[in-house]
Amino acid sequence: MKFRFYHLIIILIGFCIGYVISPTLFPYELKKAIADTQVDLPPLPPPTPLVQDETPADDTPEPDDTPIADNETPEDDIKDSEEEEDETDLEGTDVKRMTRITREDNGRRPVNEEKFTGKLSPTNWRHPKQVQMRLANALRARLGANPKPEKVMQVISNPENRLMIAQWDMLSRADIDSLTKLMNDRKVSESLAPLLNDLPWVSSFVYDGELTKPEIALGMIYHFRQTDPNMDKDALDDMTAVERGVKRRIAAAVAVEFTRKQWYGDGRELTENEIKELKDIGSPVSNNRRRNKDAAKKDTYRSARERYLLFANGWDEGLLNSKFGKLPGWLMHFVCGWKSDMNSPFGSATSLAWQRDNVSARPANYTGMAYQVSYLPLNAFGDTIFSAWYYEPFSVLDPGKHAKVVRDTGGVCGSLSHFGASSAVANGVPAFTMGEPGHCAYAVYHKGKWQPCNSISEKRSPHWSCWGLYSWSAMSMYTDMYEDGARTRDAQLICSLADMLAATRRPNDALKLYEMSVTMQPLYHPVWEHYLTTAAKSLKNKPSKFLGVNEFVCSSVAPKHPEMCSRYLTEIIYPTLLKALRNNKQKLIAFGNYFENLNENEKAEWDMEVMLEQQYEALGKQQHSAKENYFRMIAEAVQKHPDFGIALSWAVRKAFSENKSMGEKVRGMVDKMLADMPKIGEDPQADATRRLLNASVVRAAEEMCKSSISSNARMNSREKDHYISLINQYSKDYMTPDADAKAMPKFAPPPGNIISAGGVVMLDKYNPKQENIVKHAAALTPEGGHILSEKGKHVKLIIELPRRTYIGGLVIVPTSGTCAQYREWFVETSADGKTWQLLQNLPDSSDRPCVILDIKKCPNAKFIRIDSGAEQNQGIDFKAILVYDNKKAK
Amino acid sequence: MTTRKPNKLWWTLGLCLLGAALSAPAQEEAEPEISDEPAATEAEPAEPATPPTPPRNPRRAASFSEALSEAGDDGVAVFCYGPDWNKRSLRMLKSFWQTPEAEAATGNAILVAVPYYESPTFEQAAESENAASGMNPPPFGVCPTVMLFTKDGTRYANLPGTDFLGTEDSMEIGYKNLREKIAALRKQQELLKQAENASGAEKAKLLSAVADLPIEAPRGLVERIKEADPSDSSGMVRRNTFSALAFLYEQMDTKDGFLKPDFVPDYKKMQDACMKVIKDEALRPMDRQAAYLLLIGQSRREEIPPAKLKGLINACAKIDPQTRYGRLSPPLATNWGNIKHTRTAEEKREIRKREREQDKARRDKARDEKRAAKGAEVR
Repeated sequence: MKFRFYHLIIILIGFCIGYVISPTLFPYELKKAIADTQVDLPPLPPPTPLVQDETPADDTPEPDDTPIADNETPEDDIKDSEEEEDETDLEGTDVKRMTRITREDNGRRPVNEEKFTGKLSPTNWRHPKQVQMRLANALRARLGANPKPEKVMQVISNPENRLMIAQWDMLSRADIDSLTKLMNDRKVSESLAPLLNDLPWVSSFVYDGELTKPEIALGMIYHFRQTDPNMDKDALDDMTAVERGVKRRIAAAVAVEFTRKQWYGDGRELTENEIKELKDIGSPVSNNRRRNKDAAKKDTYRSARERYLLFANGWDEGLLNSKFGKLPGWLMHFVCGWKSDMNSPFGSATSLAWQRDNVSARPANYTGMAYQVSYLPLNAFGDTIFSAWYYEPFSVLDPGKHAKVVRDTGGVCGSLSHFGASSAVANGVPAFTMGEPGHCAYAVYHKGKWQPCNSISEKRSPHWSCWGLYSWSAMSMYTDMYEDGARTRDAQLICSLADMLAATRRPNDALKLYEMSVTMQPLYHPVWEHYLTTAAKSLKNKPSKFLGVNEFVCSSVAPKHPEMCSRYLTEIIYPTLLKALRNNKQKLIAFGNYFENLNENEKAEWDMEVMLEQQYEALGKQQHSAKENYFRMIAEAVQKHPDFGIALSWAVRKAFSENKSMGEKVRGMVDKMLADMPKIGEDPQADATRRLLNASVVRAAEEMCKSSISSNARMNSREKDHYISLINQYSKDYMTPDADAKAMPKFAPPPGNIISAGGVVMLDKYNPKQENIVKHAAALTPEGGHILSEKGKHVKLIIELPRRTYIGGLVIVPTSGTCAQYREWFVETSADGKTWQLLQNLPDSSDRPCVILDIKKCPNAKFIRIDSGAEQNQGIDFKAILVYDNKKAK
Repeated sequence: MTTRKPNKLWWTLGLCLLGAALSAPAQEEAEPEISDEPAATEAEPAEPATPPTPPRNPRRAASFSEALSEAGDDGVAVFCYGPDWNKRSLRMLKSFWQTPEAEAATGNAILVAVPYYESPTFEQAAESENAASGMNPPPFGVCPTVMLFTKDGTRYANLPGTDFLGTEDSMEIGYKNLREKIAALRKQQELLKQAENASGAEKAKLLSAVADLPIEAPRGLVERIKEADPSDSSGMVRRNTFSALAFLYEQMDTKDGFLKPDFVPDYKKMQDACMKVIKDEALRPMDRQAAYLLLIGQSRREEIPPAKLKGLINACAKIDPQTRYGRLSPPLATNWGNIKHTRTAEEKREIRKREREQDKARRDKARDEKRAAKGAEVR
């Protein structure tokens, strides 16, 4: 039988049936081939309007066809907007609809701008002012008067409009005169026009970082193009669509970051102060800075050019991590905008190139890369890391390769973390350094988040400004925002449109668009500032609507970024809102919005008290009922989220400072809260919560008494009573089980009963960083606690006993377990805490675990003072200090 | 016609079954391609193809464990590379490692290439795990790196990055380093054999020579030296137990490297201690130079005349100009030998006064000790 054509058809049908019935039967090779073709498919189309308008997007007039600036005046716009003023607001239907529309789309999508080229010629670009006007007029015409959300979405979904918006935004940030001066050069405008007409590039240039002074950034980019004529060409053959044009993106990222941080020469001479600052002889850092700043006078863009060439050539030659080309624009800024050699020797191109060639690893490995450097506070010459001489002698061995010098010489936390972060950056992996209390750490971007490295604390201040803020919370919000790329880009475009409307005197339309933008992406910080500033003005006399704004801010930002939310509230909303609200009931509602939206997993490692103080002050004086409700609100919030215990400790302290009855009421709330919880040990899961709450209350007590303790002043009776009762009441849970207490040594106690329990300990050299005052109370009991002071001469410890009595003995148990250092110490007593009488020196107890003082002449006293003497620089570090009465005297 | 119709139907059915049957075996191939991170790999282009396995060469093995089983005295040489994240190392695999020059440079060592993937598929992860079985990854995960192992699997050298392997344009550096390390390993084996037949100070010297080679010394070497020469008549125990860092910390009176706030070094005392180390020729040149550096540093801080400082720096270089500290000395002599001191006459007077006081205290102490010793003798 012959093989006929229909047989082939039948075979194909067979395959199709097989595929439909069981996808696993589909040949793997064919599947792979399809997958491969999918990789090379053109980029996805731009996001389609979420709500389809009647007018199709394609009908939008071309910019050249649009009547520009002739038939429409700003006055017309104002009329239009005034006619329909106040029709929509946050509670209006449009924005509610927008909220629904945007929130339904929960998926995070990366920014994927369609390839689109604008039509502005180099000649057009020689007149930026005119271009800006044309763009504004064209966009206003396309938006129409009183634009509805659907219309706005339709406008921003058109690639041509997206390009125009980004171009307008760029021009609005520029100093137009300087830009005109730059672009008037025919060569410059011809060189830059292709970039400025390229939608993905302009979009990234304007929105992927914080673009300031675009005229300088564009000058830089022109300089890069002159240096590297192949900027537009891709040297590697195996690039995906995402990776094409990487060098253009590098140029944009370098230019934006170096402009923002002013790492370029301005042609001026150094000032006297700058020279003085850099005159530190022998410091390679200052010498480099000085040399680099001097060089910048002659070669304005030297540092930026070196950075661009480092990454552009590195990419061309395949020396960077292969994922670098696929980095989203905002992360590329972290790589290309790493410290310049004008502010850190780790930023020199030579040093980074050395790290690229010698410290190349997978991103996960950079988290431990800092430990290639030995921790050595002294160099071989005996110079400390804190002096300018530490690296200076070794820098001659490897000129410019500071990272190599550091690896071979050693350093402390700063050097280690800079080495780790710059190794990652040199290889195209985003990283930055950050400050922690008394320490320097760094973070590397890996698996979609910033991984803290060489870190010892959660109180972090990144050395990277996000919207001018150097807080971890801002960094976290910044990252979340850009991770939600597509939505953020749309919100940015809408914000630019709003800025444009605000600039063309259509504030009401602008406000609506700001609302749209924040609704779409609540994490976009700049739009919040614009929106809230605008809203604060226009809603000044509409408190109920302003309360809606407050609620929206809290519900959108507080759950994940409480610090940023409190910043918005305290800096922008409250100053206006609290004046507008008529009664405390409304204020409490406003404050409650914040607490209701807190997320239980967030930790309050920031200064929450600024907001609490502001809220408390707003309630006014003598408003006890409102204040009581406010404290109750805080207590309930903290009960739900014990991580915010700092608010509770603030409340306890504040209440006691208000008056005793208020303090007792708050204490009652806390007691009830604790009573409702299982006791320590009953429920392991609840233990942590209970300890957190106890710690908060005790911290409040500490705060309350700190001033008295540190100043060596006597507490007044009210403070003291509260202090003792709070400490005694709550420290038991906080302290139990205490491993240290079990380690009390055995000793033969003096005759008499312990009378120190329940007393108060005061130190003249209080050490708030290391000491936990909660343990003071226990140190006066046989179970033992801990008392630690700062070191010095004549360090004094005062014990105020619960009652005046005859003192028969004293036992001091040092934490170290040895008593050799107490030879010079002496003990004094006082009946009133003012006049002191020497009792006796501490006996030599160097061979014992504790000092036992058996007092022969028993003084009648209420205060005991222990002095460390003038001979040695010592501090108090006691596990326990027990005072005994005299049985005979009784 | 009526008889042909059923034929067509049967053909159709038969061909359908054939089609399905043909597609069925492919299922087994498809499974291993499932990636750890599907979202990441799906959007990416096809992973760079794993380099084709060269024909079986007795000098090359597919895995570290296989190489160890075949290794001779020259041990095993492992090239670590990152196929999907480090293009340079992938290129060097072909241009540097899979070459006759690499085989020549590594003597008789068995060569292995181990891939370390960033986002491996199951298949790639298995490949990497198999190739690296029994071996730790390169320190800090740096690629490209060549690690050299003895035949018992102990690592004795690590050559990471372009500093040791050279760039793609200058690979001779890498081959030179490999030759040097292999030669050092052979020398080590020779010395250890000689040491087995020697005893006492001679054995200690031979073992100490092993520690001087530019490769990692075998474990327990210092203990063996101590055992061979317990009285340290050869000075080799001192040579191998001296710690320049400990000496530095002792002189600066610190345990953790942070100076005490009231620490004032006694220059004379430090000078004596340093000179004692410098003159001890049993110690390694770099250790003696380290003592010199401390003395130079303290001299600079004491603001001794630049000419004297220059003299110390030059003397330091003379011990061994090839060490790190030796190479450091000529530029240092230029930079520090011309330092202009900024101290005022009053400050200098203060320093001299302090020195006089220290001298006096030292003399008093010596006198007291002498008297105490005499008193003890009398008693």
